[in-house]
Amino acid sequence: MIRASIVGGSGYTGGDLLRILLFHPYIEIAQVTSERQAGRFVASAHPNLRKICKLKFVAAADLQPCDVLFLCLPHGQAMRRLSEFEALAGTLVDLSADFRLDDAAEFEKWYGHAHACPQRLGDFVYGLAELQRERLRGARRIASGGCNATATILALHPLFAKDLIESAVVEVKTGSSEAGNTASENSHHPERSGVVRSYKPTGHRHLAEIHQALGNTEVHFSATSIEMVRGILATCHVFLRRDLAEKEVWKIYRDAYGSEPFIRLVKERSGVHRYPEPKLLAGSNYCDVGFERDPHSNRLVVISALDNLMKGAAGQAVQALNIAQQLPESAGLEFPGLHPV
Amino acid sequence: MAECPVCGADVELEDDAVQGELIPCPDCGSELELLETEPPKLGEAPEAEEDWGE
Repeated sequence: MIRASIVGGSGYTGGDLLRILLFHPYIEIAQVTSERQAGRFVASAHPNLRKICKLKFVAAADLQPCDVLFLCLPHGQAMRRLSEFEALAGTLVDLSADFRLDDAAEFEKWYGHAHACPQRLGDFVYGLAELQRERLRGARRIASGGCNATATILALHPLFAKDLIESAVVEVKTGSSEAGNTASENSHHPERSGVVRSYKPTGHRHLAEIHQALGNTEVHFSATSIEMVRGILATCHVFLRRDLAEKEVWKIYRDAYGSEPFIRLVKERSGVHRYPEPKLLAGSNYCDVGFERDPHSNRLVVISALDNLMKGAAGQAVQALNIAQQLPESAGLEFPGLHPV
Repeated sequence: MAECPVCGADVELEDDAVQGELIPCPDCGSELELLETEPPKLGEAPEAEEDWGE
């Protein structure tokens, strides 16, 4: 068994990592840290794990050596404490944004401050299996991708890979769990409930990794908070270089994703669930991708949906680790979601 | 096996499939009609004929 510990396990991402790893056939959880909750039972922060997880939170100072460390810390901490974590485990999986970008100047441009260890940026492999599977094999430093970026990249990558996109405008609708479990004025119930709020019409930080992963800067991005706890729906307005028949689009996506274990093409001609919907994906590691061609223009609308805490965070991280450790890629990630929910 | 005329998916056919049979595409959900059996050829089922037999 691989012994893994979670640093910063009291948040929502940590909770989903625990939920996955507690049932993972090849990984056992050694320790879970939380500075605020050290000494308390893990299930007190994650009540869905009552009677399943008997562990107590420990302080990071009490971490013991293990095989894998998952870092679920606020942005900026992993890069400042890298040597501390490297002394504890041979493999690090960072779920923050600290090591997603290859270029220190890009990091500074998007995050507004210099990187703490820019010489180490190239050591981390971006954790999106669908794009980086070969580089992930045997990787010991993994930077798990951002949730909005994952939804966008998976929607657009097959078209960019064939140089079919002139430009794309992406609008994501996001749930409240994306903001983490620390209360703020924004999350106060009277302010958050029922909301449809443009929170980042331009300049979202995830654009940096979207541009990097797609190798193109002609992607524009806006984000809107809506009344939802988990989930992202990305509606991508793609302006094509040339007209594509619907069957051609099907072929492009089928060729790209037909053998991917966690991507499903969803485009049905009838019924209620004709396009991807985040609600159906809650708790699962799937990203559903669908599309519709506008018959009156060169616009193709590509729609993707995922659970921001799963394929957008914890699930993606475990999938990447499975590949890195040469485990079955789907191990621990088979939960198909709920319907109805 | 025959190709869906809408999305290009491979649609599996039963050995005893007969001409005129309605078959849903497993990928795009289109209602298809088996137009010919040798070789098998699928077409989109006309909407007015989707309720045959009722």
